[in-house]
Amino acid sequence: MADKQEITNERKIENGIGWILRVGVFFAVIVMSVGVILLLLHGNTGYGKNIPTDLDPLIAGLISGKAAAWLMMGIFILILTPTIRVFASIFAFLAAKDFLYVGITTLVFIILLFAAFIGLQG
Amino acid sequence: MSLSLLITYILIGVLAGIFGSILGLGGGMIVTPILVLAFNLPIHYAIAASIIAVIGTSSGASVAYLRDDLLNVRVAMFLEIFTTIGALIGAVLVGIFQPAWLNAFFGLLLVYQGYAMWQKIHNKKADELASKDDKIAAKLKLDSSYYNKLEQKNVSYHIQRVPLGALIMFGAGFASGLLGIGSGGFKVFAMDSVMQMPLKPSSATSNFMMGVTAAASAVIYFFNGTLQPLIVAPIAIGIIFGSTLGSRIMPHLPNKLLRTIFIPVVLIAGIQLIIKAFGINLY
Repeated sequence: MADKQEITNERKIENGIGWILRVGVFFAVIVMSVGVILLLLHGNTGYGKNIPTDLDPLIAGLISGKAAAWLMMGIFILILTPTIRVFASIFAFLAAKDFLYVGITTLVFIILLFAAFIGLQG
Repeated sequence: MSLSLLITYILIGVLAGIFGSILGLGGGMIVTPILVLAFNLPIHYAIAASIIAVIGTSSGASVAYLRDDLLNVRVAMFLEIFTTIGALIGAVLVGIFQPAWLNAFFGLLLVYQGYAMWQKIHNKKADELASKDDKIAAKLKLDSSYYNKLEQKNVSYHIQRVPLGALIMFGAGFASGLLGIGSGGFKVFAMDSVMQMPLKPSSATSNFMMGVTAAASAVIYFFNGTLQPLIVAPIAIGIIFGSTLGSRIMPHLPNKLLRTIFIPVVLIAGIQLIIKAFGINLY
């Protein structure tokens, strides 16, 4: 049976991870919604057919109020959320002094980075 | 884009989000066929959109599942080692492997899973839990408890057969990397049937894990231009609202109802994979 200290640690880990997800989802929805509103106001994406996929032009597009840039950045925030969740979990387990799971989570994060690296190469 | 089309996309998202978050399947299974069949979107655009749907469902639903203590973070983190390695190897082997027999294999596995679920509905002991500790599960601190809202009591459970569960998780990751199918069905199966985790924590934990598996391929779709923001963003907004709603409904649904919805879904997915092995694409 888990003692009280363990239960509090458990809650802390879950609250920390929950907070990351909530912030990620919140910002993704806000940014995408701004994009939808801009789309309805302007009646166009701001780019025509060729919507950029690199971050530099997208950030420039955010500033100049192009609808598609806001939509793309919102999607990007949503995509990053699970990966940031894994990264943040390392520290949540560290704070709970659960070193076995610090190791397990770090391993998962390294595999994810490796997969992203291979994916972007290919 | 017209306002009515925009609202339609948002509603598709809401529907997929509710459904995906309740079953732990991610919601991609709804988005792909609707976009292909009703909107004539090419299949690779639809798959990219469904990957974002999975991430949205996962993150949106997990907020509530974490707060309700339904989700087992340690089980998720431990098993993610195997799903991510499986997905990585699967993705590397794309193009080397002939996927025909693999489609058939995973299709049969899904059909078997439907059968196993059906048996569980007719077995009164289906939700009986293992009473003894498992050595590996104890070492990994996987055992936990959740609050059963229907019976209003705390339920402690003991995780069993960790190696076999890990193996199936590797297979689930491998299938999603190689065949591009969402593998929530296998994840729920590994936890619910093999590792003897109760159905609702299994479904919630599967949901949580799916976002990580999907994120790896989503990054690639983002940068190679397969994501259509005008379609994907409204669906994603709907998904997040739908999954938030679904994650509030799910704890109140009886297990039997969840299994009854689950069976046709895995059967259809399984049969679709099997006939794909014979070169027939439904969409």
